[in-house]
Amino acid sequence: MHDICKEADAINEQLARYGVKFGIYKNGEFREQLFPFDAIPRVIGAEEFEYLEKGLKQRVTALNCFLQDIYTDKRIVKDGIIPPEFVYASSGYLPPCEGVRAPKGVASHISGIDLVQAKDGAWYILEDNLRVPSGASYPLIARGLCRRASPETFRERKIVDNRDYAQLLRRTMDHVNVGGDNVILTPGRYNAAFFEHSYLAELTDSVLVTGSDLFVENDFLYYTDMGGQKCRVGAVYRRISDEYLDPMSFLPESVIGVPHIFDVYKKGNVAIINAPGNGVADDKGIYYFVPKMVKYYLGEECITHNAPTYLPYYPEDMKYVLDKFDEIVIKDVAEAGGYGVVFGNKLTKAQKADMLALIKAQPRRFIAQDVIDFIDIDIMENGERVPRKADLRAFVLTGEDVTVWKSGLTRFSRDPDSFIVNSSQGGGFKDTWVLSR
Amino acid sequence: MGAITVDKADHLYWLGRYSERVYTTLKLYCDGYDSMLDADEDFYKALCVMLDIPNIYASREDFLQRYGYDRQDCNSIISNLARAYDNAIVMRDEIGTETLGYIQMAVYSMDAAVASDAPVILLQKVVDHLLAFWGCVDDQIDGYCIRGIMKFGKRVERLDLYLRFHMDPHEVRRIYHRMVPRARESQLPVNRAAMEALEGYMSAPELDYDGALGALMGILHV
Amino acid sequence: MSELAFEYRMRSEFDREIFAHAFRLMLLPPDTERQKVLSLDVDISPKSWVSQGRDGFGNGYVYGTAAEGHRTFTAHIRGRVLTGPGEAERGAGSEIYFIQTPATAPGPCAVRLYHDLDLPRTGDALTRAEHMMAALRRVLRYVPGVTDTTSSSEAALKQRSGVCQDFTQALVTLCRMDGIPARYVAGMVVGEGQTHAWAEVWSGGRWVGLDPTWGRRVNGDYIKLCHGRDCRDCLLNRGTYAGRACENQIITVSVKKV
Repeated sequence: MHDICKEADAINEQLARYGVKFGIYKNGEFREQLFPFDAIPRVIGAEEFEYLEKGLKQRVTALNCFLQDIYTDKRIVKDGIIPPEFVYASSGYLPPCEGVRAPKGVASHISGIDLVQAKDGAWYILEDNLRVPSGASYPLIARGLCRRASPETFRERKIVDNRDYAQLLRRTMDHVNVGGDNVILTPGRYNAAFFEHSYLAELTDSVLVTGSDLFVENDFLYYTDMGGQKCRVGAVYRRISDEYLDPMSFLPESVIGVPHIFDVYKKGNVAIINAPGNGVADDKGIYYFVPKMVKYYLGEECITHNAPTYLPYYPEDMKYVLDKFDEIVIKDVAEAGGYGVVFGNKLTKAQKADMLALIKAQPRRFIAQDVIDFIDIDIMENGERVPRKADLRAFVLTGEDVTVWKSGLTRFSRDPDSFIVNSSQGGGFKDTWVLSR
Repeated sequence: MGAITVDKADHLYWLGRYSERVYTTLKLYCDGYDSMLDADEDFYKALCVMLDIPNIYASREDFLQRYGYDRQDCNSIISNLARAYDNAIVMRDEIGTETLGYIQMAVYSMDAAVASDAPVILLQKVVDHLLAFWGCVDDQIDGYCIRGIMKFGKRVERLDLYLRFHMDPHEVRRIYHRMVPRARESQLPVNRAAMEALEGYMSAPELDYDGALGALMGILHV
Repeated sequence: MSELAFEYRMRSEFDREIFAHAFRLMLLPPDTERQKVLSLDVDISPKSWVSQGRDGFGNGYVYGTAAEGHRTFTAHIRGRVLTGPGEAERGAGSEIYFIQTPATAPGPCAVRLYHDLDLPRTGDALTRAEHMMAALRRVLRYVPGVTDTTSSSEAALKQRSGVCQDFTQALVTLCRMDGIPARYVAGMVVGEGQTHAWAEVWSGGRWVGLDPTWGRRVNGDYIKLCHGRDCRDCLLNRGTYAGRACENQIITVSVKKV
């Protein structure tokens, strides 16, 4: 069989041509950086994917139930499944969303669920991303290039075509659109994921807009075309975070949002994808409770596995954290993107004492997890195969039904000693193949 | 597909103008480079007058370096290419990834030329990508109005440069007549009075370059 | 029971023309057990359109846009309110108000103050809260201009000064440290001047108003506009606009007994 790895340079050259980059600020200066592609794919067998698919659908369905519940009836809190402080002290919990029912019961339309595979083959959920998960565009554009670079590979192996992502996304938008155009709202070209925003707008036939292009008039959302005509917007796939979405309801200092858009949403005159307030469900503290949510809302056992997680908030878990400090990883629930992650065994004595004092003072702020010995995936470096840490972001789209995209973003760390695979910390990506048999 | 916003129309127009400016000035630069080798060492001074840019250059070498490749010089070719890129990168959804790729490659080729010991021979690649870009615009962009705006920008820029160069009146008029239908296709709100004034200059027996340039600069001021 | 007539006047002058001016005014007194709105008149100028909404705490507001260029913007809200038919609001004691926010989170100053409180061993939440209010007033001095709407109670306690907003947030901090749900209230009080703020504490199945700035229980002289977890939840007027201009905003509030 033809070795696709030989074509890695050619594929990377094409990715550069198409501007597959992400932006970063270094020393106060904006730069665009290529997102390095490694041609050795992550391969997921048909049966294995079937299991993941089932588990992810169940998980996202429960998370959507939770989001609907938490801003309205709060049954899960009243029934004592989740302590109230884990909900209300979460920075992702947004009081302006109280009482708002997400249209058609969907709050998380596009969910990015991060998984890792342990050495024994078991998959673990690392975190749920229900706000503005990014990354689908990279494997999407890479696939077409891989097929061109190594046609035999795709002829011989039964790899499910993943290039339907844009259609899935389009369908998700259309499902909740209340009349008018679909738009993708970007903070602008200096956002790290601007490539993705513009590429998905192209592929879904949506209008790419910034906050200043949109305006509200009499409780409807519009943009103006070049002839001065108002065009109504029916669905906004927004790629700006909740806090900045609307200075009239959220951060008053925001200059990238759209004044009154949240009021239009509350009146049912526009759909917002994903719904504001989702941060309460992908909080690292709430993560612990997801298996309980599945049981509570769906009456089913949770198919996906969380990494073994401890909440110092519970005395028995605090004891575990103190006893096993050198074997666990501590995560600050307020941080994201690989920041605020501390490995117990990497701390000096003084740092360890400080960390323990902090955990005791603010137990709600941290979670602890056993360090999972996850499978390394080979990458090519200087012509040699070397093992590196990698995770998988699966994309789950919820519209009329719940669909798991038959691919995903596999990110790897280039640093052999690092467990952190975020692109903002210098990693690369791979294609993810799901086999059809 | 939704309509185009005013800001996007603006980006398309300036994408057309800057990519055309890079294309035309690159050719001028390469020709000038050739004559400055042995024929006329100070030719760059005349070039500055032609281009209507301040002569901030100390010497032939300084001009060739900075006018070509200095990102700090706002009149340099590389700066104009950066502006073309800035206007293109925000228009991926309208012009398409395929088309945008040629502007991206022009940028890469320019960077490669700057980094090389023999930049001028490599500049041909920048020209090639720009020509391919326009080919792709014609081939791939279905939106009549989107293409119209870009091509209108392109023609306006060419006419603007030719007027500044005091190019042969026949050539100027030829470019003018190619611009006129683009103004219509672009559906941009063109200033009627300026358009009529421009028509007046172009049909006059003697071509008043500065007058025509003044009218041209006003055609998008409503 | 007393009938109060109130007037809220806001006038913004801009040194250059602004446009696409979006506004949201949370200045609609709610009907509650302690106050009944008899009449309400809202006059905003200029405006292209206005609408009404309600935030997650149930506070009503009027919002809209003045799209065309302007250099003056005025909002004039007046009405009559009957206060005091009931002493306190019933409502629900939501768990949200147990929890500190960044603006109320206790720091060393709040911890020391709470520790030094000689709280009665017994007594309902209201008694304890009144005790805290008294202690607080021994620490904080009323000094305008040393804080803004982003200031935390800890910052005010550290500098030992602030305005009604800071007194209120500090009381809310202490109550929550003591396990008493407490919320921030913005409103108006009889007299001439500015809007006011006070706290409501959950005691005996109802929300009782305490005004730590004046050191008293809220009585028939108070008109409530809105409540939330802290000052940031109760921003009475929000505005954004296009155009580079300096804004000079004058707000005057008057509440009279009829």
